[in-house]
Amino acid sequence: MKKITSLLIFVTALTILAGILAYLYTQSQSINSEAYNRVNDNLRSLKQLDAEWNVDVLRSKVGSNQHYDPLTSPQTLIRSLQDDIGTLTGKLDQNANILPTVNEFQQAIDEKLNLVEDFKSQHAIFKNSLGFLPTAVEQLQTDINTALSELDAQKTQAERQRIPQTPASDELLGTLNTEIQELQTLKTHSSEILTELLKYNLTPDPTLKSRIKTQLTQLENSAKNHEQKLAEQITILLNHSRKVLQQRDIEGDILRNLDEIPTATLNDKLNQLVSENFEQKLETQNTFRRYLTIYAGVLLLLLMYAAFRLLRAFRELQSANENLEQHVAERTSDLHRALSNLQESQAQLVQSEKMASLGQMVAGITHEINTPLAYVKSGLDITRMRLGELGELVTACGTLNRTLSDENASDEAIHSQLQQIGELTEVLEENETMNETSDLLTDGIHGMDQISDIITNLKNFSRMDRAKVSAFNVNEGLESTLKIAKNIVKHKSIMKNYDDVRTITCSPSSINQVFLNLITNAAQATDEDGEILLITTQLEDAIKIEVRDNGKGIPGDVIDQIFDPFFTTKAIGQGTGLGLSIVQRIIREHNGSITVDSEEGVGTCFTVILPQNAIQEG
Amino acid sequence: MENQINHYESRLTSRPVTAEYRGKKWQSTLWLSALLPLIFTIHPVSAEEPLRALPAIEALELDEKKVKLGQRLFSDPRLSRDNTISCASCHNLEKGGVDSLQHSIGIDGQTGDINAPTIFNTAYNFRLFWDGRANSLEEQVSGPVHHPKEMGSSWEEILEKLTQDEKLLQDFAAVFDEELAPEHIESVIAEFQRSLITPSRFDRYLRGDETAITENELLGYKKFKSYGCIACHQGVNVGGNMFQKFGVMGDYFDGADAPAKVDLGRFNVTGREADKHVFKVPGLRNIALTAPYFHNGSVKTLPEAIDVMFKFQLGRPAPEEDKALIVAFLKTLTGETLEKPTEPVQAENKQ
Repeated sequence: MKKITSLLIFVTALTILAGILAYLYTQSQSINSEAYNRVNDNLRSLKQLDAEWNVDVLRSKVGSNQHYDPLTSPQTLIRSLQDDIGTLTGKLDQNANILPTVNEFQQAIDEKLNLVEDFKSQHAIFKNSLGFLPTAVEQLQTDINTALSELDAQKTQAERQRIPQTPASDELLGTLNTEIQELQTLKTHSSEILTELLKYNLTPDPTLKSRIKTQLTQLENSAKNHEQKLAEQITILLNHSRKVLQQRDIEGDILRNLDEIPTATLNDKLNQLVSENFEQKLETQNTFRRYLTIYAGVLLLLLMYAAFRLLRAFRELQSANENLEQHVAERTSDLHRALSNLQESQAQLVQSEKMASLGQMVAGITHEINTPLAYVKSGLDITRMRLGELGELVTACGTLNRTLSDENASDEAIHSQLQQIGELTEVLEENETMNETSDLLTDGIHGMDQISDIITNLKNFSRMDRAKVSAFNVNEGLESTLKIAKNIVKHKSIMKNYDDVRTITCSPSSINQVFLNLITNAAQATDEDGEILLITTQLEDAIKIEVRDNGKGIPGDVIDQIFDPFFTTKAIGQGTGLGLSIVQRIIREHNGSITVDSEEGVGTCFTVILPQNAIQEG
Repeated sequence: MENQINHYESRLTSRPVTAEYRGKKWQSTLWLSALLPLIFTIHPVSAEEPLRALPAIEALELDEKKVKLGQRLFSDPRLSRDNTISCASCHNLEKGGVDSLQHSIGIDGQTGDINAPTIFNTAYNFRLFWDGRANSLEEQVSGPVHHPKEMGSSWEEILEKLTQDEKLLQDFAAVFDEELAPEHIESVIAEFQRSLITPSRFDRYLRGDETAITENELLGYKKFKSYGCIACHQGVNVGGNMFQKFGVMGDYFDGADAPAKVDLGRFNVTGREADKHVFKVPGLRNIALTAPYFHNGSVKTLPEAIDVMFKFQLGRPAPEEDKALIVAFLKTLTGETLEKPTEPVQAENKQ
């Protein structure tokens, strides 16, 4: 858990460090110089276009542009450049300090676009009227001339008719003269108006304008006095003259407004702002570069420190490794020591197990020997007692013999001596001393035979007298073991089912120890009237020995442990727990096998299989 | 140099004549005389005519694939809600790019409020629509598409229909490297429109072929200039590059009971009082083929239209023979390919 937490902390720290590095890196790389270049290019192009546009407006104004295509064609480009600048600066301008100027600039351009539109429309009207003015005046004057020549003709006629002079003819002549004069004034006026309008076109002087206006009003008033055709011509002239005056002012306003639109100034300002922004960014970039360098340096130091730590750790590891070898050597020797101690104690344990077995055995054997020995001793004691009675008889017989041999012996002495012998014999016969003694001796010999038999079996069992490896008949081994263990199995009913087995080559004392152990276990597992069944079977190249009992069985949960050393179900002090372990070791040493089959409450069967040549003789 | 020009410009504008100004008058005259040669030397002026010849189609460097696609979509009724109206429905390429109706007819047989302008040479219009509300051909496309009385559709609807046309999608994929979008449709239709130019006899004349037009027609051109028509109808498209008020020398709409909304012209776009009755000056190329005339299609013949122009725009009378000459001149502006009925370009796609 702690490990995961520290790993998590480590990963987080690493991520943060890498994040800072990435942030600093992007910040130090973030200048979009391409965008700046494009803004600059666009601004420069716009400035150029704007200047050319101004020139074209003026060219249209002075009439050197015959059409408005030059005024119209830059519009698309101007709009796209303007949009582009808007988009680009929007991207570049994080602090939004350029944006107001951009907006102002765009507004100015839009305004200029509109003004140029107005200029085109208004200038067209102006140009039309101004262009038409001379024609209009000319047409008016032609009409005036026509009217004048008509009037002249009338006048000539009237003058001719004046003779004789009448007031009527005088009046007519006067009217004609007035009309002629008026027409001529009109003619002069129209010419004057034309000149003054043209002058006004060049120099829009307000005084001149009011004068022209007055003249135009006069003209308008005089129109009523003229015939319809002339009046129409005058109206046309008036309309166009007024248009010229009006349009000249409108156009002047438009041009002045155009002049006042600070596109160039804003362009410069924008350019400056963008440059400043760029420099600022450059500055920021440099700052971030510095930070990046410092950060990288710090990281490098950290890295070096880590490397140093790593190196030191490595060294420690190395020395630890060396120490470890020493430790391992120490431990190994310790272990060796422990192992030998263990082996020693195992040997001691095995020895004590042997001693325990031996103790049991000795106890049994002692009992077996003690019994015959007791009655042999009592027999001998009785015999020694009887030998006293016999000794008296033998002494009496000797005395008689000497008396008889002595001539001097009295019959009386002889008689008394004979009587004494008779009495002694009578007692002996009465006591059946001789028979009894003979029986006692026979018993004594039987007892000695019994002891001798036990000694023989004991010798057979231990085979101390033989080589360690020899030919061995398992049936005989079982028999002698049974005898050794007689004390243990005396209350059990032993059943045997021996096959006619061939001898095997083995270590008889070891195998006998196995049998003794298995039989002892079987005896201990059963109750008072327990049954033990011994079966031997000759297999093809091995012998199977089964030791069965009808005892309490081995619990299923411990059956796997019974061959383990020091495992015991007996009370402490009663067994070493090494019995079956030793059994297994012996069987393994003989390349055989031992298996157990047990059912609780029914019984246990140990099956030993020994190969015919269990151990090579040698 | 620009500063000088600005300076000059400001001097040119009319300022109240103050004593100071009078005193400096000679200075400005000096400026003027000093700068005029400069301006004049930049563009030699003498040879320049107020009308300009159309460029050769090759010089336009159009994207052939886009043009082809645009041509297909131009006559594709799927651009309208009920699949009945295509661009070509109102801009009939056989009829001078118009439908010859006073007001065009849209979906569900609805009659619109405006006269369809010709589709030819629209690339040389500085803005589109009578009121100039679109700045570019591309921008213009979505106008009729969405207009409820015209195609009454929407891009979502159109894309839904067109994306089911595998063949069309493939052809679009060959031009655009992305999913079909309204911009692509606009782009190809606009590109097709750029290809719709109609060089005329008069263009040949402008290029120096003096035999291309007759003497009368040339005379008509001279009248066209001298009467002042040229003040507005100039440039490569004989107009189409400026706005003008309809009724400069008199109120054309005076007497109309209630002026229709369309009659307000550019005012509908800008809301500016001065823009009332202001319209885009139409180009006069193919004018002989595009009757009826004006934004409301109210005038049926060319001579009548010329009469209206003389009265309300030029504010002067003209003899009938001069007007006839002008009509003769205007006819030289008809595209040579359109003069005689040609093989219908769109026939194969019509349904």
